[in-house]
Amino acid sequence: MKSGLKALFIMIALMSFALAQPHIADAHKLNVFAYMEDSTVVGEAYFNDGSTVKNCEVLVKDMDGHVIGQGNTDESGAFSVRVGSLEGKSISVIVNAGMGHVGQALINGDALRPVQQNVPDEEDKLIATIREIVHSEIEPLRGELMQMHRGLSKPRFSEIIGGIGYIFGLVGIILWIKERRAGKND
Amino acid sequence: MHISEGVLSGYPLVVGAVGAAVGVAVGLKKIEMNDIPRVGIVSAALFVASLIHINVGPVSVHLILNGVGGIILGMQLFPAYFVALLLQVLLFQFGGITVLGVNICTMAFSGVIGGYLGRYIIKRGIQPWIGGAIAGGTGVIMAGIFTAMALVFSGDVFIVTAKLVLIAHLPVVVIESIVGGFVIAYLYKIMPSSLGVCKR
Repeated sequence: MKSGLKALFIMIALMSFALAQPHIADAHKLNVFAYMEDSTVVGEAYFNDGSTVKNCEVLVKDMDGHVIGQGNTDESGAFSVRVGSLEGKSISVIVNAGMGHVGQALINGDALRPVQQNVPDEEDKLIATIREIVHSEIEPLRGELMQMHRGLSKPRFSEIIGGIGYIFGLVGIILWIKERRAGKND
Repeated sequence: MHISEGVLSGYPLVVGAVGAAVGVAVGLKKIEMNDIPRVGIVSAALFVASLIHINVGPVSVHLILNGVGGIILGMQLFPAYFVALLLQVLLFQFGGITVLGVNICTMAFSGVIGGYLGRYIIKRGIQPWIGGAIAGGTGVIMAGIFTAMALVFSGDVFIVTAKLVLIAHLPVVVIESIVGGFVIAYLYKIMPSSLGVCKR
């Protein structure tokens, strides 16, 4: 088993070299973060390594699969798509970056408050002002939420090590079973 | 080069699943008792390689190692990829269960092609690092072509997609060739039996 040990050593050396790189992430998964602002879907799309999804198609579909809005992400991966009144219907936001990379986000219709109709002018202004204030107040929160989303979507070191552990464990189990079978046959 | 869930239509999904099942079955048949640890280690390497990004200039790329795996394992690369990609789906939601077959096929089949090419070169007595480099590069290029082929069925135009995928992975081809050359040259030196190029 001397050669086996050597192989193991090389693998560990390679892995530790690789893991020492400061940038651990992956571009396989496309994440979409979206929310409603009045009758516009606003959001951002990014890959797991944090890079933004630039100039890609954004489709907004209702639950029956009908396209109700269409747009593109800008240079920073942000997008906004006008969809009109939803009346509490759920929608899905699909971002396609090509080459097999597609991400999706769901916006639940129940969480959307209906836009009030037929209110007097003064009240309308008041509502608009309140909306503006609330919007500016929660803007930093949204940014923070966004960052948390990004952080969560990266594969963590412990998960990577865990995956390696699974594989080695599997090898152990298979070896054990084969060993038992070989023992029985003798 | 993982394809996301919900991109492909039924036809390539079925073809991919069947292809992967056949590949894994053939690979498993070829695994002897002594090969198991080797398959496991390569599988772990494949699992990790595509999770780690290295910044090369403005783009961040990651290793694939399918060509190198192909030289070391041959057809046994299929079960190795099955385990590695399944774990990536379960732990990180990369790719997806329905596209697992397609992803196994694109990555493992291209790796096997690169691997056999590399083995052939080494068997002819040419420097092993050249075999490793060609296996590494071929693995990535073939994977790009297969990925583009799978995407054609969902409405993409083959030439355009293939170009895009290949251009995006050009730095990977270069890096993979270099890494492949080094790894295979080293393995050839210290334990030639691991490469499947000479009988034990």
